[in-house]
Amino acid sequence: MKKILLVAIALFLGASTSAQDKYFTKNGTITFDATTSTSPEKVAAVNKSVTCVLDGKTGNAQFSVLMKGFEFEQALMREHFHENYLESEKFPKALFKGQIINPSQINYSKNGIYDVAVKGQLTMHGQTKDVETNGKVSVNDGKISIAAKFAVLLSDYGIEIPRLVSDKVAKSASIKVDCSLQVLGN
Amino acid sequence: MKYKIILLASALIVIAAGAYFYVNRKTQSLTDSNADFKISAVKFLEEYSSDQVLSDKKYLGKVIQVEGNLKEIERDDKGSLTFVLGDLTSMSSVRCSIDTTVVIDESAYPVGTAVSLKGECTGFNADDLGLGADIVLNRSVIIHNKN
Repeated sequence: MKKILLVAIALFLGASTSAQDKYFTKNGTITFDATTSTSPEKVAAVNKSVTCVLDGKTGNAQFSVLMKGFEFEQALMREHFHENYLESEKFPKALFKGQIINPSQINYSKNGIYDVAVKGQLTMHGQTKDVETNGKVSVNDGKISIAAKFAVLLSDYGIEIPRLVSDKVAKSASIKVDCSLQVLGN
Repeated sequence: MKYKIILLASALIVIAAGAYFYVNRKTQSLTDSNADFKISAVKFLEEYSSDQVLSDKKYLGKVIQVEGNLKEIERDDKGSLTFVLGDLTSMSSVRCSIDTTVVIDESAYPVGTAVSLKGECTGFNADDLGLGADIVLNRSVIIHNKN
C-alpha cells in the first residue's frame, strides 16, 4: 500500500514538474527604435501584446508579434511604419523561433538574474534571418521575466526607407524585448 | 499690390500651420470614432478561425465593436489592462488592450458580465502554441450603455 502511495506521489511530482517547465505571456512588450542623431523626434514604437512561450527545460523560446500592434505617439509615423515600411497588412505577423543555448544554467526555483545566449530565426516582413543575442532571465520569488536587446538591419528584411527620410530613420533598428512570464497550465 | 502680398502671406501661414499639425498630430483616442464593424466575440473568433487571410483583409486596422462575456481582466506589471472576452469555457479569446489614457474601475466589471468594447484590430494568433487562439484589439475603450 505504501509503495502504491509512493509511486502515486512520485508520478504527481513528476507531472507537476513537467507542467511547470513551460512559461508564457500574452502581454509581452517589444519596443522598436529607429531613431538617429538627426531624427527630428523619436522614431520608436511599442507593442504590448506579444505572445511568448518559453520551455525552461529545453530552452526553446517562441515569440509571436502582431505588427499592427506597434503603437507610435505620432499618427503620421504610425501610418508610414505600417503602410510603407513594414507593410503590416501584407505581413501581419513577425515570429521568432529560437533557443536559449545554455538553459541548464538557469535555476527557475532560485532567485537571481541569469545571463543567457539566444539563437534563432526571426521572420519579419516576409523574410527570415538568423538572429543571435544575449539576454537575461530573472527569477524573483517564482516570477520569471526575460529581457533582451538586439539590432536588426532593416535592409536584411527587405524594408526600404525612402531616400527623403533616410537620414531621419536608422538603417539598423534596436529591438528591446521585455516579458513577464507565468507558468503555463495555471 | 499690398493686398495681394497680405493674401499670399496669409495663405502661406495657413498652409504651413496645416502641414505642421498634419505631421505632428497625435494618435487619436477611439472614444469618439465610429466602429467599422460590430460583432460578438464568439462570432469574431469563428470567422478568424475559419479564414485568417480573409478576416485580416476585412478587419485588420479597422475599429471593431465587440460584445461578449468578460472572462478575465489582466493587469501587467506596468499597470496596462487587458479585457479578455469570449466563451468562458473556451481557451480562445478576443483580447482588448485598454487605451492607457483611460482610467477604469475594474471592480465594476466582474467576470461573466456582458461587456461591449471597441478597439483597433491588430490581428489573430492561431492556437499553434497551445494557448488558445486570440484576436487582439488595441487602444480599446469600454462602450457604456446609455439606457
